[in-house]
Amino acid sequence: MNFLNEPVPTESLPRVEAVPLQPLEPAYRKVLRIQSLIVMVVLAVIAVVLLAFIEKFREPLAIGITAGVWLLVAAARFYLIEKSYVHKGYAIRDRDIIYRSGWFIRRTQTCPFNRIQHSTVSMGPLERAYGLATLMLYTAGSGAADMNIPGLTQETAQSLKEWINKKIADEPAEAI
Amino acid sequence: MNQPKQYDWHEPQRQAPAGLLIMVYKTVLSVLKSLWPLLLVVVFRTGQKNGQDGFTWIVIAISILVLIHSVLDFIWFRFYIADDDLIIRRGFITRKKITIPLERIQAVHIEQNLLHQLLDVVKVRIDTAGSEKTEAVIDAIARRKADHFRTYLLHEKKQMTAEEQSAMPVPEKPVLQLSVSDLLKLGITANHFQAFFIVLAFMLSVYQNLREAFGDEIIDAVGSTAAARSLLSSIPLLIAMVLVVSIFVSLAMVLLRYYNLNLAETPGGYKLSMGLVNNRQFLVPFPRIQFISWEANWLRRKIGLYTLQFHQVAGNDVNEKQLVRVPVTRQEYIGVLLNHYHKALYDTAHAVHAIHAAYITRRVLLVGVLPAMVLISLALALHLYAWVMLPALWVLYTFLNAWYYRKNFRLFVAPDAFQVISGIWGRKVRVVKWYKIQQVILQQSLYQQRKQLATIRLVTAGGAIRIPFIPLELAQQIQNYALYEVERSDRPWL
Repeated sequence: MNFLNEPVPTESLPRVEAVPLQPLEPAYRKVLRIQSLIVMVVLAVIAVVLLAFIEKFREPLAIGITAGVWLLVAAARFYLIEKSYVHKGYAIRDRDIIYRSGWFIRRTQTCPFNRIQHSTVSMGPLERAYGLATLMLYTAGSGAADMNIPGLTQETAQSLKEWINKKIADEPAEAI
Repeated sequence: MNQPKQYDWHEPQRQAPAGLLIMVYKTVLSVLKSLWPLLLVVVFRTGQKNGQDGFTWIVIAISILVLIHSVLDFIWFRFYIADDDLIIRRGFITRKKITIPLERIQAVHIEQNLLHQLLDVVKVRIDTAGSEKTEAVIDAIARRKADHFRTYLLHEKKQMTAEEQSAMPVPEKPVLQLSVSDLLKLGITANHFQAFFIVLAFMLSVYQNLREAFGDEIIDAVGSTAAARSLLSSIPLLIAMVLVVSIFVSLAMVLLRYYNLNLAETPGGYKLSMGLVNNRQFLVPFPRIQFISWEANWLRRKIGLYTLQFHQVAGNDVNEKQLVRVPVTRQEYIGVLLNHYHKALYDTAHAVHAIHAAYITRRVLLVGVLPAMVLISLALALHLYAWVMLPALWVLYTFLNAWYYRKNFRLFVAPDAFQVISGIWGRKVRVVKWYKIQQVILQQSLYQQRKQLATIRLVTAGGAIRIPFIPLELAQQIQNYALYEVERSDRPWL
């Protein structure tokens, strides 16, 4: 495949696909599972409320279908969590950060440091309980173009953010 | 005159006490936005015997939660400067620490809505390049403090503001103007389908309103008169009428927007003015252009009429009217307008690439066959056998669309820029310099993984360019080269 002839032969370019990725913290799996559980419980409560108040839903067939769908959705969610967790990972290079996610749709996102505008370390209550955090990086890219790396330990997220900020500070001043 | 107060911005600062009310208001709004279906359900059930009590309890419970949430968020909020960064800590349940390097701050906005005015506080919004993310916000702070803070932030950045630079009058060189005949050509060849549906919807709503205003009997009486009956009975005539009206509407819209269009070139950028009732002026400094595109529908291609767009840094709420679009009546103009960015790559590309045929298969299966099967089974279940033809035609339509999209798609590659040509009946060409890219996203669905294909998205601050169904190896090469071009030097992309 002849992509470019010169000036830089593509074989000698740094390659994103060759970078070994750091997996997310195993505790993150628990966070995902608990989150899924909460959602399923809420759905179950709503289903029960509907059953209690709407006459039509009290037939055994309707109850059976609702329960069946609920079980199916729960099983699918848990299966997807396990599958996609295995495929999640990140890597820091000298000039950018790579995050890969997804099983159904495998997605590799790369954010150069000199394009990062600002960053946020976010911790939901569940994440806090397990000592985890999410690192959110914002670029100037339009649309949903921000990078979210979940499942990091709080120290990792903090030090990553500081590392990135240091890289930004080391750049020559931008002209507007 | 008040005593100038000295603030130490390195010490964690809190919001003004009035901020508590603002936070409550904000939380209430967001709760309403996410829970309105639930509230609707509750409201409609107040007729039942337990409804009244249940409703009151729910409202009380939600109010208490909102209050606690806002109080906790308010108590937890801090902002301060540390090591050339602005740090904002917000949130109690979900804790966020937002770090904004001072040199990335583009603007500091001080705003007030009605509630702010009543409480005599202001809102400070910090913008970075590109989209303004709503989290870099200090919801309530005394105005004097806000002014001090803004001065401090901007001083720390030590940057010349754009206003200072453009104070002097600059020489202008006219590039193109639109004549009345150009406008007519533009209006007649516009995409009337849009206008058609707008007019149709408008007429339907007018019909509804008339029914409500005059009552059904009168409308039926009018409808049963001979004239109305003959009009309504001939569907083609009706459609023709709506079409004619929509053509006039398109023409009117084009005239209103592009009347007296004037594009001039200054040493620093383009100056564009247009509009009949609302005269609009656009300034496009050359460095702010992220990429350039030009496009034409099927009709306009025949007469050589293209719409060129300068894609600039796009904020969060960009509406259609703010896009910088220039109708171009001659091909040569495109070359002229590309001059300050990068010339088109038709002849100078190092390589040209196309989409894989699997695109057609996938698209037809997903967008064509799948919904068609659902619709066909529905039609069969409802015994509407005649309607089975329509989904089948839809599959054919999807196939033709996918076939031609794939046939027309081209990616031209050169060392400092790339060009994408796409379109089914019309054509759209985009020219993008590699170093304008913000980030690269490479995606593979399960189907693509099996076939060693990938879809790549190159995101710029003016929009993303999506190249679907190319060989994985090529996508990786594009990804790696784009990152190389972005990272190898610190050329300002803005």
